[in-house]
Amino acid sequence: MDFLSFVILGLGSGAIYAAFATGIVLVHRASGVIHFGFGATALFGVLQYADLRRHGILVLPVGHIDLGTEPSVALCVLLVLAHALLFTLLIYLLCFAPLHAAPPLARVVASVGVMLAVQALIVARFGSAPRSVAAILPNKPVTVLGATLPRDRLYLAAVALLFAAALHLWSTRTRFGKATRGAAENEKAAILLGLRPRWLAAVSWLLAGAVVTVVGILIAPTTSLEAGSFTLLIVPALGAALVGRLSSVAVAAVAGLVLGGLQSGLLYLTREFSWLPQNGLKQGLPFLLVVLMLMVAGRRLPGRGTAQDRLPPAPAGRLRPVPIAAAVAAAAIGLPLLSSQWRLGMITSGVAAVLCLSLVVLTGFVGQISLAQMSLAGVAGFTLSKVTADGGVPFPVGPLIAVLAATALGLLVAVPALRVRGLHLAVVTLAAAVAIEEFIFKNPKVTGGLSGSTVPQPEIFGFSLGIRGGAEDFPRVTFGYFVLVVTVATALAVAALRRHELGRRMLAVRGSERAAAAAGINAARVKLTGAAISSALAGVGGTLLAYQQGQLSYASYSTFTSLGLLVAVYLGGITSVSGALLGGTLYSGGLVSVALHEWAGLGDYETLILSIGLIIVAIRSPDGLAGLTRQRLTPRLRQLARRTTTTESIAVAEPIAVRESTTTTKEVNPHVAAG
Amino acid sequence: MTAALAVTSLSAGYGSAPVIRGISFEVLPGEIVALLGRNGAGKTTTLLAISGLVRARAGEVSVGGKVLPAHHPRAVTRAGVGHVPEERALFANLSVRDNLAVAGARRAHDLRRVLELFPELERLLDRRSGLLSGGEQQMLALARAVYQRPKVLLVDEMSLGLAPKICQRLVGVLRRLATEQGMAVVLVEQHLFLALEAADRAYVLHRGEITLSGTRAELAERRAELEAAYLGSVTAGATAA
Repeated sequence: MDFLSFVILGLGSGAIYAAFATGIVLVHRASGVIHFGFGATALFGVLQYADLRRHGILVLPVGHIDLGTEPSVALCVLLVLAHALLFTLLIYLLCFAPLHAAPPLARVVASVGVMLAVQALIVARFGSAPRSVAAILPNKPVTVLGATLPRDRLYLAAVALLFAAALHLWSTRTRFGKATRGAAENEKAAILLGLRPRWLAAVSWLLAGAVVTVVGILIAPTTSLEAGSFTLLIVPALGAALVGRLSSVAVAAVAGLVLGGLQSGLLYLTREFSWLPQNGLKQGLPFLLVVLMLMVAGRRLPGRGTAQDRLPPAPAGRLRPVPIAAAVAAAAIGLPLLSSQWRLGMITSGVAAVLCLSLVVLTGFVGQISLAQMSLAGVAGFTLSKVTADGGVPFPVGPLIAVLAATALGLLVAVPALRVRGLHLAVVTLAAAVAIEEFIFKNPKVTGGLSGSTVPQPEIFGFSLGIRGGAEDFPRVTFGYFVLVVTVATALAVAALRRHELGRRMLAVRGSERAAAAAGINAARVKLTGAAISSALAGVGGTLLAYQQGQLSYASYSTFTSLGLLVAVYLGGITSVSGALLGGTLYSGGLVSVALHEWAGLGDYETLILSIGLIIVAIRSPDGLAGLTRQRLTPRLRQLARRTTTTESIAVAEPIAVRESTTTTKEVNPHVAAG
Repeated sequence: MTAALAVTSLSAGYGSAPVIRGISFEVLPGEIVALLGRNGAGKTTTLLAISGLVRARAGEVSVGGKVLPAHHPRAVTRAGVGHVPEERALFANLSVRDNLAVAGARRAHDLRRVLELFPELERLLDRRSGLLSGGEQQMLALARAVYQRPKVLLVDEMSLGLAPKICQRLVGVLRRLATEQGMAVVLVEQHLFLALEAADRAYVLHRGEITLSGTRAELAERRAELEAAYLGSVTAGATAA
């Protein structure tokens, strides 16, 4: 096969990129959301189609409908499409319509939440067994200019382009399309003109849902179908959507097709030229495209009138010695007393808390969104493996080198962030996560292939700090204490950073880069410093995780783990140290995870439950569970405490009041008036 | 004659803070009425409450004798109320032509009618509205509202940031709309002299209440009181009409 044949073959994946990019542009233009979940929702529909064709069963998110017979292709497509439209409408109305005026971060996390929830739903409803689907489009080869080309890829490309052209015309030529664009831009103006912005947006969501589902079904016969097949295809689609500047459906669709063709062409080149990197080139291309597009379009400072990201307030980082000492003492006493499962949960929570702290600094303090935090942790983990297992570097020099490596990469990823903000930054970091995973983590030379990379247990002066002891001694309490010390130290350091002048500068940059720059703050330097501290913390977390696991594979630091980390810390509270600690318990394998397994028997639904929790928190309480505690629980406790004090004070004050005058009670005891 | 717009005992505010308290006024067809007052007097809130964008706490609004449902902007628009808000609220990424198209499914002669009022927009039809000058944007905002053929036109701070010449030009357009099409216009202005020049009658608001009202001639005679209203020393109930 020659280069052209490879490029034409790539039109298959190009068609799905084009369809996803079309969907992304449509919904972004209508509701300001970058929907990461199109891949997952399309996959749900495609798997529904596969089961419907094969067994005549329409699998629904809850329950199923048995049609009894093997339905025709047309009926299957219609049923799946009807379900997809309803599903998409529900996603919009329940998750994104309430967030229409929310800051970009809330929309990003809700989008990630939907993606993970649908992905978890796919695993729960369809399992992980691969499926295949019979050809729908004619697939007889056709010969053009001497090259034998797969006919169905050409049809797929034509269908994707046809959809894009129709939607482009709808969007630019019809009053409805123009009104949708207008309403997304200025809701108040639309309302004053008698339009219904939510309904206009809902129609765009429906159209996007229809396009991704139909093209997904058409492409299904050309690919193997399993849970996760389509989910991360959203990354190249995002690249294509960015080429269309998130506003032109037609340009985005063409870019998607070209990208698919080029990726496939690259495969041909890697086969022909062995000196080219054999891993990750395919995934590296969309990353480069995303970064280039955003770097070119981005600005060093946001433009005049650019809406500021309204993140939840970051608590002052004040230390409360008594609760802190009590929590540390409880953890220290609990570690040896807990069963191995709960102890492991506690250790995982501690490690995850350090990782969550890295996001608190980056997102909570500086206002930068990152979906690649576990990639940085992974670089630390694999570096640790290389320098300790292969290089024989002892503890603690090995971990220090690993943390430095993560910091260096973090700074590299932060460079685009100097010009890119909000939703776009989320896209860049997601693309970076996928590129790092494919380019570095899946490279057997770096990570040891299927056997993975080993990490020797940490030892200091002959004393083992490792997690593994004898057969009965897992996880070792000593390792638990090691993690506890590191967690407490990093948490105190982050709290100190919040109180420090640098922390205040970070919050100033988060609040308004323009205002901060006007006040003499070097926003770029603050951002880079924040990125360095954050990636160092991610490196520390990654190192601890490496020591905990002992044997690393790319799955330990995959893109999904980065998304899972964002879920955990946002649920906990992304602007506070307490939120990060709470986030640690919510991370996969943490204390909440153990509780779900042990007490509720809901371990299989952990991701689904947490993702739905994330969406609810994004809508109802942007400062997470820690913020909710601060806002709701703490005042109530204070009120309760005040009532108790008041009752006691009245009892004490009464004799004085009686002695002087009943009206002097207020002066004698101010608590009475306050209560 | 039935009032084109009748506001009766209207109260509205934000959160727990009341902004307008029981204000009442009427606008007849073909009449321009100005709402005057200092910053924070409640002028803009009055317009927003009429449009249904701010929920009225008490009172009612009727258009052509028909009472409008409370807090229902779409019903207000359908009843024939056009609103040009202070910030003009254009769709900056849409062209001038598309801004007009979004306002209503009208025919070619409607576009001609609007362009006759604002001939400056004709050569700008395909330009993105975000690229227009302030004066051109205000013209487009007015043109878009007029394109919907409203019976009542609410215009908030029309002169904000515009050159006097443009303001005069826009006042002329409002006068034409009132006299030729019988449109009732409510003009919220801080520019006292421009408002008095444009309006047939005016109401002065102070801390959410109407403290002074009268025809243009009456108010011109009571200039000292009017200026005092702007400086905040007018006493409640000094009604000229």
